[in-house]
Amino acid sequence: MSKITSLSTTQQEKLNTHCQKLHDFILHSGKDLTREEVESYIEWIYSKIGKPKPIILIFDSYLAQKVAINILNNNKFRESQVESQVWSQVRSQVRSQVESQVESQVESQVGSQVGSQVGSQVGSQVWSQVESQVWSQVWSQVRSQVESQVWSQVESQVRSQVRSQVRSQVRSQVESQVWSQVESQVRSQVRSQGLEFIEQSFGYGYESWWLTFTEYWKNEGIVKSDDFNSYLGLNRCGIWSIVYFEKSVFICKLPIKILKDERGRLHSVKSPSVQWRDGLDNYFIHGVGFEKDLWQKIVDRKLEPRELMKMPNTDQRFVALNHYGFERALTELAPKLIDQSKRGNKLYSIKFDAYTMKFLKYTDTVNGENRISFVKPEFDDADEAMAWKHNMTKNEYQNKLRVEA
Amino acid sequence: MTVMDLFRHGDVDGRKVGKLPDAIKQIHTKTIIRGEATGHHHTFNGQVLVYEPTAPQYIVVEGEKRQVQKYIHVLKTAQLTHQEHATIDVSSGTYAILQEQEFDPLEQQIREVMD
Repeated sequence: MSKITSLSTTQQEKLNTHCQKLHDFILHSGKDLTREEVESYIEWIYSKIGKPKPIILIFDSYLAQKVAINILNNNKFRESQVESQVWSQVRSQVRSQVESQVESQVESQVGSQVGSQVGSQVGSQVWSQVESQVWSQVWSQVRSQVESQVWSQVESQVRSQVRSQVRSQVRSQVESQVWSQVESQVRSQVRSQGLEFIEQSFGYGYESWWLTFTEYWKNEGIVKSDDFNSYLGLNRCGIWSIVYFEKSVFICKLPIKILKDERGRLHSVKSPSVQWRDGLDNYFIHGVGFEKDLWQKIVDRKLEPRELMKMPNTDQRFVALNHYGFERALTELAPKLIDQSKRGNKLYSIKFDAYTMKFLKYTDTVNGENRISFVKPEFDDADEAMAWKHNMTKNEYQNKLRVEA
Repeated sequence: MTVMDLFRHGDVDGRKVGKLPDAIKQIHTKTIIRGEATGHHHTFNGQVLVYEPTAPQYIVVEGEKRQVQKYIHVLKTAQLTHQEHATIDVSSGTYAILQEQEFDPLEQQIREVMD
């Protein structure tokens, strides 16, 4: 059979529709899933790595999935680690979900007692070994099998064309704009409590582009693989993330709602940007993540200038300042312009409490908007202060820095 | 335009150094810095080896110590990418990677800028 050397207009339209449908399914369908739906697929994966069917634990949010892994993983989630009321609620909420699910499955399978023994029964401690087995014996096998089918039947330029479209319509929208932002926020939340963040990068959050790419060729009759069908079937149940352990598997469902701004960044000043079924939501403003309390203060414009200045994260500060009103904030602080450079950097001083502070107002290299950053009070030269911020001398900044982006 | 000795890519600064120091280990990634609040990352495309110091290491600029986050060895002109910043070409050579810094006026101390 000769290779496919180009896509017809109909095929291009189908590709476009396919990408859009998958994008919408992952980000906007809010697809719920049940244990019954995923059971046979999980059994299939574990049979591939020579292990019996595991306990299946299903969670409504990404945070709950990660916390649950810690609850069952060698008592990492000790009582003493939880200080805030919020985290205490998270722990008890997740713990009750874990215990009810484990109890119902363990009792019916082996009649064992559940409680403090839960951790050892689900075998969480050997996750890395199982992860590598799933990678080598399931994922990579399925991938190489279907890729060889595509490679042998489709010319490279057509593969590139399809890959490029899938990447722009699915990968950049799902993996880069949503997955990486949610993953980053939940990783910080989990680690802030001294817990371990375990992610094996399976599920639609991470694999969206590859699954979309391969499913397109399946629909075109190029890929014919029962293994891929099973792998796809599992994800099609609505899986955001899945983590495999020896005797248990932790599944996170798709979010129920995702809100973005006009540039496709996670954003909402009215409700959580990423909404999960259990209320453990994620808050973003123009792609920048916040804890709920801080987000609430910003959207209610109740942030004090002092709190604004205390924010160590410049992206958070930038967003908060813009929402608060850049000019309004500056006016309230009554700054005095000290120096202005040809490169557009402006150095100001303000008095706040007992301090005299100096800050730079400069143009963001990405969008041309104003940013501010505090500098040491001894500076009187805007470019010298900017050079200091960027680890160089004033001479280097003015004469040797050729590329800024 | 290709970078010669210095580059700035958002909150990441690169500075050419003569050679790699001894107390480093290679890490198997081409991502040099990852933003906590956005999940965005500064990542190379091309032939680049990335190293991290095994103990704190510093470069002195204007008499002030700056902590090196990573070292990179660019074998052939490579592209530094980011989800929002424009891609820049970085020419071959060995660079120290430093993080943008600012002053915390309330704590009266220097802190690294975190995206």
